[in-house]
Amino acid sequence: MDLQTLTYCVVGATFLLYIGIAIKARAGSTGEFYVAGGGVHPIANGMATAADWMSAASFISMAGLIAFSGYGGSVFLMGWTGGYVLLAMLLAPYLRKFGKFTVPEFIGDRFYCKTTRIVAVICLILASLTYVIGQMKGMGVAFSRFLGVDYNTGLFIGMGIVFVYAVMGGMKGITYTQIAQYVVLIFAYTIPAIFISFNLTGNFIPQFGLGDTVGENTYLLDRLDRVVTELGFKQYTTQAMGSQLNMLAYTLSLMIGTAGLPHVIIRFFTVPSVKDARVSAGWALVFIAILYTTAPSVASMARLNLMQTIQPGEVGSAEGNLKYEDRPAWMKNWEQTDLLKFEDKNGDGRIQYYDDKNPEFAKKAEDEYGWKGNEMVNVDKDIMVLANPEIAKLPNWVIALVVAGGLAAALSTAAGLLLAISSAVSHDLLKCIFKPDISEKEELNAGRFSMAGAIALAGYFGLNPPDFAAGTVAIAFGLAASSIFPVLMMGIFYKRMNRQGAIAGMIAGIGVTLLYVFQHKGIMFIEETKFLGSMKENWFLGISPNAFGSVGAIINFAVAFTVSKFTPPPPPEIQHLVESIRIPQGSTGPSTSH
Amino acid sequence: MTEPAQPGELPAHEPNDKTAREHEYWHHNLKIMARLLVVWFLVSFGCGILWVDFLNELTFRTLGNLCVIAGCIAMVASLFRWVSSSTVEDSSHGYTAIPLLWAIAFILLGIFFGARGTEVVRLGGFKLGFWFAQQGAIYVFVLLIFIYVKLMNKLDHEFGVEEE
Repeated sequence: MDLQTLTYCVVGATFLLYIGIAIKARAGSTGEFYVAGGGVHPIANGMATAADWMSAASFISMAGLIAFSGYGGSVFLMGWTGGYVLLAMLLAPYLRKFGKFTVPEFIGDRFYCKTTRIVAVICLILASLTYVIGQMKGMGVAFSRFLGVDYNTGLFIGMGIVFVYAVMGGMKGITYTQIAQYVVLIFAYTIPAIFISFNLTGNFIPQFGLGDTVGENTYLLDRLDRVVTELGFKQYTTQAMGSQLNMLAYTLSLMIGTAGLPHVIIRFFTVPSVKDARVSAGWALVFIAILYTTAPSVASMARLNLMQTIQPGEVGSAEGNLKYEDRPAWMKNWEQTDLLKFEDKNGDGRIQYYDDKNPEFAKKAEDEYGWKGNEMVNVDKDIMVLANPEIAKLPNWVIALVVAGGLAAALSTAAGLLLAISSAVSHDLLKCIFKPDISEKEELNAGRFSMAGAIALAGYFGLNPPDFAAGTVAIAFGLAASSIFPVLMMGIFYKRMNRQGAIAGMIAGIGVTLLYVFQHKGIMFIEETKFLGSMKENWFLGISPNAFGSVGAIINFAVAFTVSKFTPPPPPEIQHLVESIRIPQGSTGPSTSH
Repeated sequence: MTEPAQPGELPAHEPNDKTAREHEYWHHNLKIMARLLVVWFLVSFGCGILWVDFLNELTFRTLGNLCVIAGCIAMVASLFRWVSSSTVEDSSHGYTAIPLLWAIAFILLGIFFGARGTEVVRLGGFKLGFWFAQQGAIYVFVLLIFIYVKLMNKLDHEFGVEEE
């Protein structure tokens, strides 16, 4: 069977599985639609959370990002896992005890004000929508590259699948499909990693292979360090991402952003008790850690493979570089997509890949070796994971599995985000603000309707990606870190925090973060409108725009505390509410009665 | 951020036995959290970023190595004691201080004996700081959550505030 047919079979089989689950798990009530009836086993919820959380970016992009940024890529590894410690200890158990359906609902009740609820809904929709556009794009690309259908058709197929199980099953359908999607994606990620680790180091476990030897007595990471520095690149294991302060701020932003993302938080409303919410966060991190500890191995091995393929001989010798005509099949395949591009600058018919931005080495290369610049002019970082099975010459079914895994990662995250958006619209906006006397059946239908609307909107943006889609990470994490996380935390841990403080803090946090991101990346990411330029010299204390959410959070806390000191304390019943969410006793299932 | 509970802040509400106990429960809860978050900070921001160069380039000779290994074990033991002592009363502080003193003594001894060494301390093929940043921190995060769950379940039980 050729690769195309095999891919169709594997992807088709996984889709059938998802739809089968959707038919079994139909939502009959708002409780089932918003929080899967609140009866999900903590381990099952952990697995669903892991799939919910790990998007196309984690599955496809992260390893490639680490491969080219070395030690600096640790900010993603630590940032996107460390947030779960915060979530488990600072938010999940208390929000579960609160026992309602959405994140804005908590913010609205705790700060006894509809305005805060609306501000929270706006933050939630902004953060989730930018995020979901990225997933939609990922799906379209995966379809068009591997299944030979065009981008738009691919997008429609993806939307159709999500539509079936998200509209019918709501959170209940999404939860059980996410469990299946986790299984698909984790196999798809680890199987190629195991093969590659074994080929390269003789160690079956990628996590240990990373610290093992290649050939005789040379450790993999030492070899990699030598290979990259010989070509003028920075040493892999010490290459930092900007200043130390930038790395601290970046990691912190990703951590608190993770803990503040509403689609992750609402997953903890689905477990039966406070105790289960705590342990479920632990299981979620276990399932996430399986992928996140494999990723650095995949990254370093892919980088080493790439370097050694292009530079098989000694650096500087005439025969040292790969002949363009002899390049392996996977390079030819990827060249067709323009994600990989070579340009023979010095006309010797061989490929030279080195750091021509390193002035010292570039000069040496030109004077001594006759190199005229880096000839691998474009290498998309996403290739590293997708081409991995081909690089390691693995059988076709592994390639098909990787495609199915990438789609599972994109679908599961998209569904989780869409649910967060639709519940904010139907539960927070419609039921609370516009039509409080809505019946449960009507609300359920409204939920389904807003879910369909959210899918259509996300699909529209997927077809016509706006310029700001490129800044997904900066916007989604910046917003979650600078607005949602601080306001939730203060709501739980500071009884004296009042409405005025919360609103002022949220607005200040978001304002500063967005201003910083826009001034360096352009208003809504339109290049021409940036007014301070993206030059590093202009960065505040050397902190990159992506890392600025942590500064926004600090401003949020500071403003909120100051304002609350000068305004009256919250009414006694709110203070009692805070006391009651701090104690597990007396927790109930999520209820519709308010 | 980790604002301690302030008994008596509630107006129009007689501080009775139950609320006093709930305040005490909350106080312990905060203590557990704060201690675990200290460890969280040490492994990620500390070992993974702030001290990464120091850990990557740590050099020792055999005797120094042995001392440092002993010191690290004592350090982990004292951290563990420190964290797990947060559910019971403050009399247990001595248990924490003793292994911590041992840890510091051993590590200082290790630096004294091994300061002129040429061998870099490594974990197999890993530089120590790099390992923390890309592997170790994640493992510790997982451990921290499960320790938190265990301590909180114990605390809930001690104060009788578990769910039915």
